[in-house]
Amino acid sequence: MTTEAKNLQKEDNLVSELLILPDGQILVHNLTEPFAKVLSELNPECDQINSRLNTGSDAAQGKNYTP
Amino acid sequence: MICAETSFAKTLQSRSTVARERARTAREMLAECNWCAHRCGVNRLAGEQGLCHAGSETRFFIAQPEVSDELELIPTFAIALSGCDLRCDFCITGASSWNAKAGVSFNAGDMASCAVEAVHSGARTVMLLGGEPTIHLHAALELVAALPDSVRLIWKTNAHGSVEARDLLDGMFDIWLADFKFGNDACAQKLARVPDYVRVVRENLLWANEHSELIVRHLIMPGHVECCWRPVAEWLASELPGVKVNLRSGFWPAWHAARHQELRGTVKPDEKKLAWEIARECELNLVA
Repeated sequence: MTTEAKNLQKEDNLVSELLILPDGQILVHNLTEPFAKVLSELNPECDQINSRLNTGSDAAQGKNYTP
Repeated sequence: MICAETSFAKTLQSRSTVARERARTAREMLAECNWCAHRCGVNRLAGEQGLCHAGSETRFFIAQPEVSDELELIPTFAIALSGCDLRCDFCITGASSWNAKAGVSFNAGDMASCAVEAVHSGARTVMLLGGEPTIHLHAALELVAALPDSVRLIWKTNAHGSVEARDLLDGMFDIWLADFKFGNDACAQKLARVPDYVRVVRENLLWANEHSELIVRHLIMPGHVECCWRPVAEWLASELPGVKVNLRSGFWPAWHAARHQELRGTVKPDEKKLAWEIARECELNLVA
Protein backbone atom coordinates (compact mmCIF):
# COMPACT_ATOMS: atom_id res chain seq x y z
CA MET A 1 0.00 0.00 0.00
CA THR A 2 1.29 3.45 -0.84
CA THR A 3 2.18 6.02 1.76
CA GLU A 4 -0.67 8.19 0.56
CA ALA A 5 -3.16 5.41 1.02
CA LYS A 6 -1.79 4.61 4.46
CA ASN A 7 -2.19 8.23 5.40
CA LEU A 8 -5.83 8.01 4.41
CA GLN A 9 -6.51 5.37 7.00
CA LYS A 10 -8.04 7.34 9.79
CA GLU A 11 -9.82 5.53 12.54
CA ASP A 12 -12.64 7.15 14.47
CA ASN A 13 -13.22 9.55 11.65
CA LEU A 14 -16.36 8.28 10.01
CA VAL A 15 -18.40 10.87 8.16
CA SER A 16 -22.17 11.34 8.38
CA GLU A 17 -24.18 14.43 7.49
CA LEU A 18 -27.48 15.41 8.99
CA LEU A 19 -30.17 18.01 8.51
CA ILE A 20 -32.45 18.89 11.42
CA LEU A 21 -35.80 20.23 10.27
CA PRO A 22 -37.89 22.78 12.19
CA ASP A 23 -40.42 20.08 13.07
CA GLY A 24 -37.73 17.96 14.72
CA GLN A 25 -37.26 15.48 11.91
CA ILE A 26 -33.66 14.50 11.25
CA LEU A 27 -32.48 13.56 7.79
CA VAL A 28 -29.15 11.76 7.51
CA HIS A 29 -26.79 11.13 4.64
CA ASN A 30 -23.86 8.67 4.71
CA LEU A 31 -25.21 7.08 7.86
CA THR A 32 -22.59 5.12 9.78
CA GLU A 33 -23.38 2.69 12.55
CA PRO A 34 -21.82 4.77 15.35
CA PHE A 35 -23.93 7.73 14.28
CA ALA A 36 -27.01 5.53 14.00
CA LYS A 37 -26.43 4.56 17.64
CA VAL A 38 -26.35 8.21 18.64
CA LEU A 39 -29.62 8.84 16.82
CA SER A 40 -31.15 5.75 18.38
CA GLU A 41 -30.29 7.02 21.84
CA LEU A 42 -31.95 10.32 21.02
CA ASN A 43 -35.09 8.57 19.79
CA PRO A 44 -35.23 4.92 20.86
CA GLU A 45 -38.64 4.51 19.22
CA CYS A 46 -37.39 5.23 15.70
CA ASP A 47 -37.75 2.00 13.75
CA GLN A 48 -36.00 3.45 10.70
CA ILE A 49 -32.81 3.90 12.67
CA ASN A 50 -33.13 0.82 14.85
CA SER A 51 -33.44 -1.40 11.79
CA ARG A 52 -29.98 -0.25 10.73
CA LEU A 53 -28.36 -1.14 14.02
CA ASN A 54 -27.19 -4.51 15.18
CA THR A 55 -26.27 -5.62 11.71
CA GLY A 56 -23.97 -8.10 13.38
CA SER A 57 -20.82 -6.73 11.95
CA ASP A 58 -17.63 -5.14 13.18
CA ALA A 59 -17.32 -3.58 9.77
CA ALA A 60 -19.96 -1.00 10.54
CA GLN A 61 -17.69 0.30 13.28
CA GLY A 62 -14.77 0.20 10.98
CA LYS A 63 -12.13 2.44 9.57
CA ASN A 64 -12.68 5.40 7.39
CA TYR A 65 -10.48 5.85 4.36
CA THR A 66 -12.11 9.07 3.27
CA PRO A 67 -9.64 11.81 2.39
CA MET B 1 -35.04 -11.58 -12.42
CA ILE B 2 -33.17 -13.59 -15.02
CA CYS B 3 -29.45 -14.06 -14.62
CA ALA B 4 -27.93 -14.19 -18.05
CA GLU B 5 -25.02 -16.51 -18.59
CA THR B 6 -22.06 -14.23 -18.94
CA SER B 7 -19.23 -14.67 -21.36
CA PHE B 8 -16.65 -15.38 -18.66
CA ALA B 9 -18.89 -17.97 -17.08
CA LYS B 10 -18.93 -19.80 -20.37
CA THR B 11 -15.15 -19.82 -20.53
CA LEU B 12 -14.74 -20.55 -16.81
CA GLN B 13 -12.59 -17.49 -16.32
CA SER B 14 -12.75 -15.82 -12.94
CA ARG B 15 -14.42 -12.45 -12.51
CA SER B 16 -11.13 -10.86 -11.59
CA THR B 17 -9.41 -12.22 -14.68
CA VAL B 18 -12.10 -10.90 -16.98
CA ALA B 19 -12.17 -7.58 -15.13
CA ARG B 20 -8.43 -7.20 -15.63
CA GLU B 21 -8.77 -7.69 -19.37
CA ARG B 22 -11.72 -5.36 -19.61
CA ALA B 23 -9.97 -2.70 -17.53
CA ARG B 24 -7.20 -2.59 -20.10
CA THR B 25 -9.73 -2.25 -22.88
CA ALA B 26 -11.61 0.42 -20.95
CA ARG B 27 -8.49 2.45 -20.36
CA GLU B 28 -7.71 2.40 -24.07
CA MET B 29 -11.26 3.50 -24.82
CA LEU B 30 -10.67 6.69 -22.84
CA ALA B 31 -9.10 7.94 -26.05
CA GLU B 32 -12.64 8.40 -27.30
CA CYS B 33 -14.82 8.42 -24.23
CA ASN B 34 -18.39 7.31 -24.72
CA TRP B 35 -19.02 5.82 -21.30
CA CYS B 36 -22.16 7.78 -20.64
CA ALA B 37 -25.10 8.60 -22.86
CA HIS B 38 -23.79 12.12 -23.49
CA ARG B 39 -21.32 10.42 -25.82
CA CYS B 40 -18.83 13.32 -25.79
CA GLY B 41 -16.18 11.28 -27.61
CA VAL B 42 -13.34 13.29 -26.09
CA ASN B 43 -9.81 11.97 -25.69
CA ARG B 44 -9.44 11.88 -21.92
CA LEU B 45 -5.98 10.37 -22.24
CA ALA B 46 -4.87 13.56 -24.00
CA GLY B 47 -6.43 15.81 -21.38
CA GLU B 48 -9.64 16.62 -23.22
CA GLN B 49 -12.72 16.97 -21.05
CA GLY B 50 -16.32 16.22 -21.77
CA LEU B 51 -19.39 17.28 -19.83
CA CYS B 52 -18.28 15.39 -16.69
CA HIS B 53 -14.87 17.14 -16.78
CA ALA B 54 -13.14 13.88 -15.80
CA GLY B 55 -9.66 13.18 -17.07
CA SER B 56 -7.84 9.87 -17.02
CA GLU B 57 -7.22 10.03 -13.28
CA THR B 58 -9.89 8.72 -10.92
CA ARG B 59 -10.36 10.30 -7.51
CA PHE B 60 -12.56 9.43 -4.55
CA PHE B 61 -14.14 11.39 -1.73
CA ILE B 62 -15.71 8.76 0.54
CA ALA B 63 -14.59 5.26 1.52
CA GLN B 64 -16.16 3.94 4.69
CA PRO B 65 -18.62 1.37 6.07
CA GLU B 66 -22.17 2.71 5.98
CA VAL B 67 -25.61 1.52 7.03
CA SER B 68 -27.85 3.95 5.16
CA ASP B 69 -28.54 1.82 2.11
CA GLU B 70 -31.01 -1.01 1.61
CA LEU B 71 -31.26 -3.33 4.61
CA GLU B 72 -30.28 -6.34 2.56
CA LEU B 73 -27.03 -4.63 1.55
CA ILE B 74 -25.75 -3.17 4.80
CA PRO B 75 -23.26 -2.75 6.22
CA THR B 76 -21.66 -1.87 2.95
CA PHE B 77 -18.19 -0.54 2.29
CA ALA B 78 -19.08 2.53 0.24
CA ILE B 79 -16.57 4.02 -2.18
CA ALA B 80 -17.62 7.32 -3.75
CA LEU B 81 -15.75 8.36 -6.88
CA SER B 82 -15.51 12.05 -7.73
CA GLY B 83 -17.32 13.52 -10.71
CA CYS B 84 -20.58 12.84 -12.50
CA ASP B 85 -22.11 13.10 -15.95
CA LEU B 86 -25.34 14.59 -14.63
CA ARG B 87 -25.78 18.04 -13.11
CA CYS B 88 -28.60 17.52 -10.64
CA ASP B 89 -29.07 20.84 -8.89
CA PHE B 90 -30.28 19.08 -5.75
CA CYS B 91 -27.27 16.74 -5.52
CA ILE B 92 -26.54 16.03 -1.89
CA THR B 93 -22.84 15.58 -2.64
CA GLY B 94 -22.69 18.30 -5.29
CA ALA B 95 -19.32 19.74 -4.37
CA SER B 96 -17.61 16.40 -4.98
CA SER B 97 -19.99 14.97 -7.53
CA TRP B 98 -19.73 17.93 -9.86
CA ASN B 99 -15.96 18.11 -9.48
CA ALA B 100 -13.97 15.19 -10.85
CA LYS B 101 -10.86 16.66 -9.21
CA ALA B 102 -12.32 16.50 -5.71
CA GLY B 103 -10.92 14.08 -3.13
CA VAL B 104 -7.71 12.16 -3.62
CA SER B 105 -6.27 9.85 -6.21
CA PHE B 106 -7.83 6.41 -6.44
CA ASN B 107 -5.56 3.39 -6.48
CA ALA B 108 -7.47 0.19 -7.19
CA GLY B 109 -5.06 -2.09 -5.35
CA ASP B 110 -5.02 0.06 -2.24
CA MET B 111 -8.78 0.43 -2.24
CA ALA B 112 -9.25 -3.29 -2.72
CA SER B 113 -7.13 -3.89 0.39
CA CYS B 114 -9.35 -1.52 2.37
CA ALA B 115 -12.49 -3.17 1.01
CA VAL B 116 -11.26 -6.66 1.82
CA GLU B 117 -10.44 -5.55 5.35
CA ALA B 118 -13.99 -4.23 5.71
CA VAL B 119 -15.42 -7.47 4.35
CA HIS B 120 -13.32 -9.49 6.78
CA SER B 121 -14.77 -7.32 9.55
CA GLY B 122 -18.26 -8.23 8.41
CA ALA B 123 -19.29 -5.86 5.62
CA ARG B 124 -21.82 -7.72 3.49
CA THR B 125 -21.13 -5.80 0.32
CA VAL B 126 -18.79 -3.36 -1.39
CA MET B 127 -20.54 -0.52 -3.15
CA LEU B 128 -19.07 1.61 -5.89
CA LEU B 129 -20.84 4.92 -6.32
CA GLY B 130 -20.16 8.54 -7.07
CA GLY B 131 -20.74 11.02 -8.34
CA GLU B 132 -21.22 8.46 -11.02
CA PRO B 133 -18.90 5.45 -11.29
CA THR B 134 -19.63 4.93 -14.98
CA ILE B 135 -17.34 7.82 -15.93
CA HIS B 136 -14.54 5.92 -14.17
CA LEU B 137 -15.27 2.57 -15.72
CA HIS B 138 -11.58 1.71 -16.20
CA ALA B 139 -10.87 2.28 -12.51
CA ALA B 140 -13.99 0.41 -11.46
CA LEU B 141 -12.90 -2.62 -13.45
CA GLU B 142 -9.41 -2.37 -12.00
CA LEU B 143 -10.98 -2.51 -8.54
CA VAL B 144 -13.04 -5.56 -9.48
CA ALA B 145 -9.89 -7.20 -10.79
CA ALA B 146 -8.15 -6.60 -7.48
CA LEU B 147 -10.95 -8.04 -5.35
CA PRO B 148 -11.64 -11.70 -4.60
CA ASP B 149 -14.47 -13.08 -6.73
CA SER B 150 -16.41 -13.88 -3.57
CA VAL B 151 -16.93 -10.24 -2.64
CA ARG B 152 -20.49 -9.14 -3.32
CA LEU B 153 -20.30 -5.99 -5.42
CA ILE B 154 -22.88 -3.25 -5.92
CA TRP B 155 -22.92 -0.85 -8.83
CA LYS B 156 -24.70 2.28 -7.60
CA THR B 157 -25.51 4.23 -10.72
CA ASN B 158 -27.64 6.96 -12.27
CA ALA B 159 -28.39 4.50 -15.10
CA HIS B 160 -27.26 7.01 -17.70
CA GLY B 161 -24.45 4.86 -19.05
CA SER B 162 -23.88 3.87 -22.66
CA VAL B 163 -24.22 0.52 -24.38
CA GLU B 164 -20.43 0.25 -24.50
CA ALA B 165 -20.17 0.81 -20.76
CA ARG B 166 -22.74 -1.78 -19.82
CA ASP B 167 -21.19 -4.34 -22.14
CA LEU B 168 -17.97 -4.06 -20.16
CA LEU B 169 -19.91 -4.17 -16.89
CA ASP B 170 -21.74 -7.38 -17.79
CA GLY B 171 -21.18 -9.89 -15.01
CA MET B 172 -18.88 -7.66 -13.00
CA PHE B 173 -21.29 -6.48 -10.32
CA ASP B 174 -23.79 -8.62 -8.44
CA ILE B 175 -26.35 -5.91 -7.92
CA TRP B 176 -27.23 -2.80 -9.87
CA LEU B 177 -28.62 -0.17 -7.53
CA ALA B 178 -30.00 2.30 -10.01
CA ASP B 179 -31.69 5.67 -9.65
CA PHE B 180 -34.73 6.53 -11.72
CA LYS B 181 -34.89 10.19 -10.78
CA PHE B 182 -37.15 11.88 -13.31
CA GLY B 183 -40.38 10.73 -14.89
CA ASN B 184 -40.13 12.94 -17.96
CA ASP B 185 -37.48 14.58 -20.09
CA ALA B 186 -38.56 18.14 -19.31
CA CYS B 187 -37.87 17.74 -15.58
CA ALA B 188 -34.61 15.93 -16.33
CA GLN B 189 -33.48 18.77 -18.55
CA LYS B 190 -34.55 21.42 -16.07
CA LEU B 191 -33.13 19.84 -12.92
CA ALA B 192 -30.11 17.89 -14.23
CA ARG B 193 -29.41 19.34 -17.68
CA VAL B 194 -29.68 15.97 -19.34
CA PRO B 195 -31.54 15.31 -22.60
CA ASP B 196 -33.28 12.10 -23.63
CA TYR B 197 -33.14 10.93 -20.03
CA VAL B 198 -36.17 8.68 -19.80
CA ARG B 199 -35.35 6.54 -22.83
CA VAL B 200 -31.76 5.99 -21.72
CA VAL B 201 -32.63 5.06 -18.16
CA ARG B 202 -35.45 2.74 -19.16
CA GLU B 203 -33.19 0.91 -21.57
CA ASN B 204 -30.47 0.51 -18.96
CA LEU B 205 -32.86 -0.70 -16.29
CA LEU B 206 -34.29 -3.34 -18.60
CA TRP B 207 -30.76 -4.45 -19.43
CA ALA B 208 -29.67 -4.49 -15.78
CA ASN B 209 -32.66 -6.59 -14.81
CA GLU B 210 -31.64 -9.20 -17.35
CA HIS B 211 -27.97 -9.22 -16.46
CA SER B 212 -27.83 -8.84 -12.68
CA GLU B 213 -29.95 -8.33 -9.63
CA LEU B 214 -31.61 -4.91 -9.80
CA ILE B 215 -32.89 -2.51 -7.17
CA VAL B 216 -34.44 0.73 -8.44
CA ARG B 217 -34.42 3.84 -6.30
CA HIS B 218 -36.55 6.92 -6.57
CA LEU B 219 -36.07 9.96 -4.38
CA ILE B 220 -39.35 11.79 -3.88
CA MET B 221 -38.79 15.43 -4.79
CA PRO B 222 -41.06 18.20 -3.57
CA GLY B 223 -43.39 19.27 -6.35
CA HIS B 224 -42.49 16.29 -8.53
CA VAL B 225 -44.69 13.47 -7.32
CA GLU B 226 -47.19 13.56 -10.18
CA CYS B 227 -44.79 14.54 -12.94
CA CYS B 228 -41.86 12.33 -11.91
CA TRP B 229 -42.80 9.61 -9.44
CA ARG B 230 -46.14 8.58 -10.95
CA PRO B 231 -44.76 7.88 -14.45
CA VAL B 232 -41.73 6.11 -12.97
CA ALA B 233 -43.96 3.95 -10.78
CA GLU B 234 -46.34 3.13 -13.60
CA TRP B 235 -43.53 2.20 -15.94
CA LEU B 236 -41.88 -0.02 -13.34
CA ALA B 237 -45.19 -1.75 -12.69
CA SER B 238 -45.71 -2.30 -16.39
CA GLU B 239 -42.21 -3.20 -17.62
CA LEU B 240 -40.38 -4.49 -14.55
CA PRO B 241 -43.10 -6.08 -12.43
CA GLY B 242 -41.76 -7.41 -9.16
CA VAL B 243 -38.49 -5.53 -9.33
CA LYS B 244 -37.33 -4.23 -5.97
CA VAL B 245 -38.08 -0.54 -5.55
CA ASN B 246 -36.82 1.73 -2.81
CA LEU B 247 -38.95 4.85 -2.52
CA ARG B 248 -36.92 7.37 -0.57
CA SER B 249 -38.39 10.40 1.13
CA GLY B 250 -35.30 12.02 2.61
CA PHE B 251 -34.93 14.81 0.06
CA TRP B 252 -33.11 17.76 1.42
CA PRO B 253 -32.56 21.07 -0.35
CA ALA B 254 -28.83 20.66 -0.91
CA TRP B 255 -26.33 22.22 -3.30
CA HIS B 256 -28.14 24.35 -5.93
CA ALA B 257 -31.66 23.16 -5.13
CA ALA B 258 -32.67 26.72 -4.31
CA ARG B 259 -32.43 27.55 -7.99
CA HIS B 260 -35.82 25.88 -8.26
CA GLN B 261 -38.68 27.28 -6.25
CA GLU B 262 -40.26 23.90 -5.58
CA LEU B 263 -36.99 22.38 -4.33
CA ARG B 264 -36.36 24.96 -1.61
CA GLY B 265 -37.89 22.80 1.10
CA THR B 266 -38.36 19.18 2.02
CA VAL B 267 -41.11 16.82 0.93
CA LYS B 268 -44.45 17.72 2.47
CA PRO B 269 -46.42 15.07 4.41
CA ASP B 270 -49.25 15.07 1.86
CA GLU B 271 -46.73 14.52 -0.94
CA LYS B 272 -45.22 11.57 0.91
CA LYS B 273 -48.68 10.16 1.44
CA LEU B 274 -49.54 10.52 -2.24
CA ALA B 275 -46.23 8.94 -3.29
CA TRP B 276 -46.92 5.89 -1.12
CA GLU B 277 -50.48 5.68 -2.45
CA ILE B 278 -49.13 5.62 -5.98
CA ALA B 279 -46.70 2.86 -5.02
CA ARG B 280 -49.54 0.83 -3.56
CA GLU B 281 -51.78 1.45 -6.58
CA CYS B 282 -48.99 0.15 -8.81
CA GLU B 283 -48.40 -2.81 -6.50
CA LEU B 284 -44.67 -2.16 -6.45
CA ASN B 285 -42.31 -4.48 -4.61
CA LEU B 286 -41.08 -1.92 -2.12
CA VAL B 287 -37.95 -2.50 -0.07
CA ALA B 288 -36.42 -0.45 2.72
